[in-house]
Amino acid sequence: MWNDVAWKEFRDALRSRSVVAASVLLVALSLGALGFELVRGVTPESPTRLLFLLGGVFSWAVPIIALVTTYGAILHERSSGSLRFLLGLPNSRRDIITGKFLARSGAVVIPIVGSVAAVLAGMVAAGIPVPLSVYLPFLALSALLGAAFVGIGLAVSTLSTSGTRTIAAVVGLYFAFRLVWRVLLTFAVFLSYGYQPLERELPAWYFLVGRANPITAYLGATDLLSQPTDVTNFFVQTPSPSVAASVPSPWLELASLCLWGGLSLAAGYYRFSTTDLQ
Amino acid sequence: MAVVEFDGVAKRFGTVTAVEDLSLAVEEGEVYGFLGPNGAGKTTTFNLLLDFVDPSRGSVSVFGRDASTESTYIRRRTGVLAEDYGMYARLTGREHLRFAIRTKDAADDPADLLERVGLRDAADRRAGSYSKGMRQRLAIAVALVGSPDLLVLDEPSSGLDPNGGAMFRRLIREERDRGATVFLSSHLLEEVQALCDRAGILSDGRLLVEGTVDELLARATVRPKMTVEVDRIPDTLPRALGDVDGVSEVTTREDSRELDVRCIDGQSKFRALSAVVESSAELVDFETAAVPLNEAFQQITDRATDGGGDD
Repeated sequence: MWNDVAWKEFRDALRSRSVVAASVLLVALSLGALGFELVRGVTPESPTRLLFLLGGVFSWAVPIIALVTTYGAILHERSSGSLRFLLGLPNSRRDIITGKFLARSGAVVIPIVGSVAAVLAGMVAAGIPVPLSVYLPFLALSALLGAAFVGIGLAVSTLSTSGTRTIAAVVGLYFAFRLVWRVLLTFAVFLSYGYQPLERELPAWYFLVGRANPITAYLGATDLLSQPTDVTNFFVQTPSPSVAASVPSPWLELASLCLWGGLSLAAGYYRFSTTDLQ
Repeated sequence: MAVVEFDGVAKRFGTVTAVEDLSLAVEEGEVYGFLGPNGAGKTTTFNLLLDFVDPSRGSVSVFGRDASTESTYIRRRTGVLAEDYGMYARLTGREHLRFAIRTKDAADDPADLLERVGLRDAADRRAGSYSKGMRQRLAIAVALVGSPDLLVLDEPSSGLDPNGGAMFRRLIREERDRGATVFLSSHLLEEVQALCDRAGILSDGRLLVEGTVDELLARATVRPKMTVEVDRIPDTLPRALGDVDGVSEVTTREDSRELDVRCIDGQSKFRALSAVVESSAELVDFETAAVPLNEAFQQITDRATDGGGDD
């Protein structure tokens, strides 16, 4: 059953060195952000600025952690033969995909929760006020980012029996989300409006297409939460007031993250259930 | 009632045909052995049964249910030892069994199962530190979870030491006496002979013959071979041996004082040795060998394909 697979998988993941290493890394990066803010000097803006910094750190690290801990979920079980063990028991392929998704999402959410908790504890210790009404939604949003990339990693894991090709696909996807998407979008704006597009108002479609990218969606939603006044994110533009009406935030960002996770999961399941186990 | 039924099943991988027009039935309560050289299609047959792969043609049913669409139901009632299975290196033997027990909604105690396969002392060690034989024992224990109605075991005794082999045969007899149906593959004739009510020989993806192991051996023309060493070979000795009742073939080797004599049974071996002693040659030594399985297969394979052997 899916819950048995999930438990087994979760227990297995917690004993994996890469999961432990990823957790330590994320906590360290988050505390680094806190340290940076403390060195810079605490102001009334600190809680939101710190949230903005954490969002930036997570937008880089969480997709990588999720992809690295997930791309082998099916691939490695196929090559080690444990998939034959798993499917020799009365698990359906849907049980396996569902269980793995939940367990690996859990394994990614744990370091996220740990990092936020560590930062909040540090903030309390440093006497910085902790606005939970902002930090709890941020936690949920970050978990959603992790889950979306676990879904993507799981789908990639079912694509090929070759480790090299799978790793290439993971790296390629990360760069596509991180860089290529944004570059192409910027070109599209240049083509439509000529050079120096940032002088003028960015059109609504720039935000719609841009935030269809799960990383940009996450950053956009984080901006909505932190409302930074004295910092801007190089990777995310804020829609001007006249365009904002056509950009249904935060539903656009949430839908983007949910769809990436859900559709990837569905594609991974379809692929897994129609492939011979050889 | 047939527990496992293959009806005109073919499986192709690209241009390679792994199984061709396979029809076979394993009856309730019997121990059915699958014999055949590597690459004959045994594992593909099990893979089809377990829905690891879909058939290109034909149908597979287990417990009267379709193997592709009702695989979860089938595997709930089946104990499986697949070929090339892997264990989770980071989980212990006991954890593997707990997982299998929960997945099957069974009530077994992991300790009992580990005891049955002789792994009690290694229960809490991670499977990554197990030897191949221990992994195989653990896999057998997993297959026994939930007292399944059907056991599907692909090369179950591979990697087991002689003690492990004896333990395995004892377990299979216990399972059969409990009423389980057993479908296993092996390349060890002795094992199939000792355990199976019926056996089928698979070669190049086709089921060549089925029957009891003794029937299969009777259909093979290869007889057990006895090698006789003498001080010299008189011209008359091969002929004299060939005339002995029950001796089917006598061959001599050049520059050797050994004769290979094929006899149908123990009595005829004794008569052949008597003939040597009565001849003008001195008997130095003799040695008997069982029929190598591949030789017996070869005979049946060649006859089935009308002598047109294409290796």
